[in-house]
Amino acid sequence: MSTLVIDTIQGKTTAGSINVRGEGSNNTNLQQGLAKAWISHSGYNTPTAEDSFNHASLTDVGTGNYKYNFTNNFRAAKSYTNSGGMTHDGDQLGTYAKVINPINTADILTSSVEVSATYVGSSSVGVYDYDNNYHSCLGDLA
Amino acid sequence: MTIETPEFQGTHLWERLHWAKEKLEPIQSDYRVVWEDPNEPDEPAKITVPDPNWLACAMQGGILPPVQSYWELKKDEAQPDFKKHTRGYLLHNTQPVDKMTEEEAIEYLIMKDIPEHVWKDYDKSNRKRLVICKKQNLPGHRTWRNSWKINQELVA
Repeated sequence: MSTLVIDTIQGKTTAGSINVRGEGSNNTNLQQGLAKAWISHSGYNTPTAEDSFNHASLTDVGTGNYKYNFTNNFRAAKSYTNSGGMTHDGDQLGTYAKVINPINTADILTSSVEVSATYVGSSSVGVYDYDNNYHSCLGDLA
Repeated sequence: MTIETPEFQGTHLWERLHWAKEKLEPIQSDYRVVWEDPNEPDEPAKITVPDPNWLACAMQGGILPPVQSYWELKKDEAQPDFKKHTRGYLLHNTQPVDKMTEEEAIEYLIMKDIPEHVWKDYDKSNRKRLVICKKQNLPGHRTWRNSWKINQELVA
C-alpha cells in the first residue's frame, strides 16, 4: 500500500479540474463533486450553528425559516443545488418526510439562500422548528 | 499559542476557509442582531447570528475580504442582465482585512448580511429597526415566533 503525502493536487491541463477514475470508463470530476457550503444548526431558542463551512451567518427569519449567508459567494444565482433535512431529539415526528429547501427560486442568491424546514405527512404539511437542521450546497463558486 | 495567518492576498477565499477550519477554534458569540425590514412591515423580526467559524476568521485577521467586495458583487447581481459573477477576484485578490474585535466583526457582518436599507441610518428612524443585543435578551422559546417584533419601549 502506498500513502500519498501532499498539500495540493492541481490539474495539469486545467489547474482547477481534477478527474477521478470512476466505475468502468466513467470519470468523476473532483471539484464539481464537492459540497461548497454546509451547516448543521439548532432550531430552538435562537438557531445557532453547531458546525459549518463557508457560512458567515445564519438569520432566523421565522418559524422553520432560515437564511444562510455565505462567506464565499456562489458564481450564479439559482444555479447551485440545495439539499437538507432535520431531526427532532427523540424523533417525535419520525413518520413525516422532512426537507430543508428554498421555497422560492428568487431566494437563491449568490450570497445567501433562504430555506424552510418543511414536513410532509399523509394528511398534513407545514414548517416547523426542529431541534437539528442540516443543509449543504453544491455548485460553482465566484 | 498565537497562530500566524499566512499572506492570503491572491489566495482563493475558499482555500483560506480550509486553512481557518483546520487551524482556528470556532468562536460562539453571545451577540445577536435583531432587525425588521421596513419594506416588509408584516414580517416578523429577523435575528442574525454570526457563524462561529466565520467569527474565528474575523478575529484572527488576514482572511476575510473587505466588506466593500461583497457590496460590489451585490451591485453586479442586482443588474437585470446578471448571469454570473465575473468579478470574483474582489473576494480573492483584495487585501484581506485585519483582525477585528468581536464588536467590529458584528458591525462588518451587519453591513455584509443585512440589507443596506435596514442598517443605513437605522438610529435616526422613528421606529427602531435594528438592535444588537445579547442572546439572553431574547425569548428562550419559539412561541408565536412569527409575531415577534422589536419592543420599541425597551430599545428607546
